[in-house]
Amino acid sequence: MPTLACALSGTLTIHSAAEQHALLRDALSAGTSTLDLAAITECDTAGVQLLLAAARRLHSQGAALELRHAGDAVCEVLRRYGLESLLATPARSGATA
Amino acid sequence: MNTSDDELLAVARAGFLDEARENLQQFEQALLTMEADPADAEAVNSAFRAAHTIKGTAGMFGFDAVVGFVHEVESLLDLIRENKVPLSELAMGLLLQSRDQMERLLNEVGLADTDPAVAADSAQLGQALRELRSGVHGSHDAGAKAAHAPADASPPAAVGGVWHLSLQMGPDALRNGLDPASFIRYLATLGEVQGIRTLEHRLPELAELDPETCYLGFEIRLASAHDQAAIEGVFEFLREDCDLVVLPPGAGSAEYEALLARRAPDDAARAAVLACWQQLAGPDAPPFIERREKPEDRRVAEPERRSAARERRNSDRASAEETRFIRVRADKLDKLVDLIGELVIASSGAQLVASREQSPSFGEAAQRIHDLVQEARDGALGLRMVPIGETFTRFQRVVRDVSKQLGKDVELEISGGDTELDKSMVETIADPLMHLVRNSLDHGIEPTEDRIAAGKPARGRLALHAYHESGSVVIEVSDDGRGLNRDRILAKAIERELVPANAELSDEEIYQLIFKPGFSTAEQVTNLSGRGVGMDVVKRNVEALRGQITVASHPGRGATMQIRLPLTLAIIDGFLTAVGHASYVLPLDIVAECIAVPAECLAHPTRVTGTFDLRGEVLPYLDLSLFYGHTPPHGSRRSLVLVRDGHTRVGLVVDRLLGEHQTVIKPLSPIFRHLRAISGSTILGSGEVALVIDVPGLMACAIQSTTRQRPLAQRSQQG
Repeated sequence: MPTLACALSGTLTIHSAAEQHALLRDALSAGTSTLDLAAITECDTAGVQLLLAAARRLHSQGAALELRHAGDAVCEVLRRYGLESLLATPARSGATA
Repeated sequence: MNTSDDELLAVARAGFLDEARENLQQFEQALLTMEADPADAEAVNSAFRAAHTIKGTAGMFGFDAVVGFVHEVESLLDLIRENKVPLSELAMGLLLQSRDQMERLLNEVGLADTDPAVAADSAQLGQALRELRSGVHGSHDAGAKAAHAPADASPPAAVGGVWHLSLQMGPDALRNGLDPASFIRYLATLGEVQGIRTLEHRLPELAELDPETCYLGFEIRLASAHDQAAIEGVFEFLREDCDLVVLPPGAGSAEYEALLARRAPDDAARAAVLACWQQLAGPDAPPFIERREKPEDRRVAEPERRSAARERRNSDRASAEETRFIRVRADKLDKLVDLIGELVIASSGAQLVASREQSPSFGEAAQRIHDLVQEARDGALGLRMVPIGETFTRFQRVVRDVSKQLGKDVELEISGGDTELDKSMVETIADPLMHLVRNSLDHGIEPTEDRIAAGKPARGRLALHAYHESGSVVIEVSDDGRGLNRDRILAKAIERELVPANAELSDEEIYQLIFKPGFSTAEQVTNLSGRGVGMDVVKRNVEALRGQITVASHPGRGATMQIRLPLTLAIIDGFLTAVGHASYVLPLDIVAECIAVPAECLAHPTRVTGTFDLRGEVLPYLDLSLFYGHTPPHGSRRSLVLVRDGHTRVGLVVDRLLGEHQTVIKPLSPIFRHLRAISGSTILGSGEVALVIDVPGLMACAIQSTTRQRPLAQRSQQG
């Protein structure tokens, strides 16, 4: 199954959470399991929640969330919360793009 | 419906602005404290809290421009708080600039208008703040990584032991602008975060998730030598938006069990929390991982008691603060003061009727009402009184900025900050004070080299001082600079034709010349206190408040500007006199005594002014009847009222004394505004109008224009 990377941009914070949430929902419904975070400039707890929820949903579908090109902003807050595991490239059978 | 919503919003917005401005004040104060003492951690916290509150409330109203900018400021402060960014001169400068920018943004909110230039400033300053932050961001990350690595491998023996913190965020935390990440980041300054796990079992499905609600909880192992209060203090600001349990090192399994019960009401959650704890603990399993299959009964006691105690503590603190202050709209207060004013008039009307009816019992009742009204009046006026200290502290920043700009080292001393005066007056007096302060910094205090050469301490001293004195408030701005140059002032005044070249003036009189329009002695015109517009404007502003300004100077030792303001603008205790057919009110505070008209005045019945002898002292007098163009009544016994005008005393000759009178001062209609000697009017109990005399204004008028007044008086005598 080809996985399209969904590129998020701007901030992943409380201010943009509503839009990013809608975007994520659509992307995941469309079958995406890879998020490209290269253009994310800022990330806070609201953003972390979205990533966690996305990971959980994919997990329940037997897939795994892959975060690509996470910058300092994202890494810092994930590490702060002890969620480094989200950053790890999931070992998946099948498509590795 | 719609309009009432709009109104509500407008009121809420005004409340937001008020609060934000207070926070801004706190922010600035904290910054200045930080600058003076960089080690003062509480100041950094205070600045952070202030910025944070502004951001939070602005977020609730959707003022995105404010939120976006304050966020940058807050992020920088966060790093400063963790000692990740040094508090350099550059950082300090940027933070102070940011404070000004925040003020501009708030002003835009107030005006409901946006200026692209302000937005551009925001962006530019925000960029500068980010650069300052990112300059250290890399190394900060590396540091975090380094700290994490050994923690994961084998927890080092921590000084003071390992604490367990359990943090369950409330749903509104993020919406309120509180990001737990920054608190956890800050926690790292108290010790070493050995492990942290995020509890996400409350997080709903992606589709059902409200992206702005906070669902997460955090379990943290912290090695720290600090005490419980210090650790809880980190989350002080989150208090209302999270549930925090701090378990001390060596806490028993009962405590962990209680915590588990508190965090996990059902089995699924319980499993999640336990799994998380297990991960946290690593190989050396602490007591809390013992299998938990205890009955429910034990869960109640401990945590309930603890949380109850905590809540009580919270609510005690909250209610104590609430009872101390209530926010009241200014117009409501004004309305109350107006009403009390009417009551004062009505009550003196009742007294008048009582005395006319000659009914002792009515008179007694009216007197009782009169006394109560007087108390109510004092109470109502007291509501409007605010301490001047807040205005004073604002000058810290001014003194800092201006002295830096001028390359001088100046220390600001504030005393009498708790002196109270009318709120509207506090607002109006801020501008004149600003001018005086700048003037002192610019012209008064010498450059450091000159000071050292003159044998003075290198650091200049500027003092703001306030106190109450005989019914007025006195505010002084003094410096220990070079003082006023008497000769130069006189030369300049003569050059500008403000005084005749051969004038014989006392030092006092010469100093007062600086308040003349178009006067400036600064040889070098600076952009601070400029081109001779200023002191005369200051004087006008002060006089508009029925106040006076004087200057005292000691050459080489400094100068003092003294502003004297009446306590209140609205209602005063007056002394009622009759002159001709009109009634005049003198403020009772300035009336020293009343005597029969002395022989010197009687000897010259047509002279408007002259001098008389009071127990061996020669004092000037002014005949109000003649001055105001009335014909003095023949044969009736007239009186002289001795009033204090600053340090001098003056006799006012009036036709009749009518006694004390509570006076509600109503402003004169604009067409009478040019009357300088009259500060307002009032309505007597009988319904007649009386005029309130402005004694300093009257003196000024009399001194300047007795020669011009006399023909007027004579003309009206003829007419």
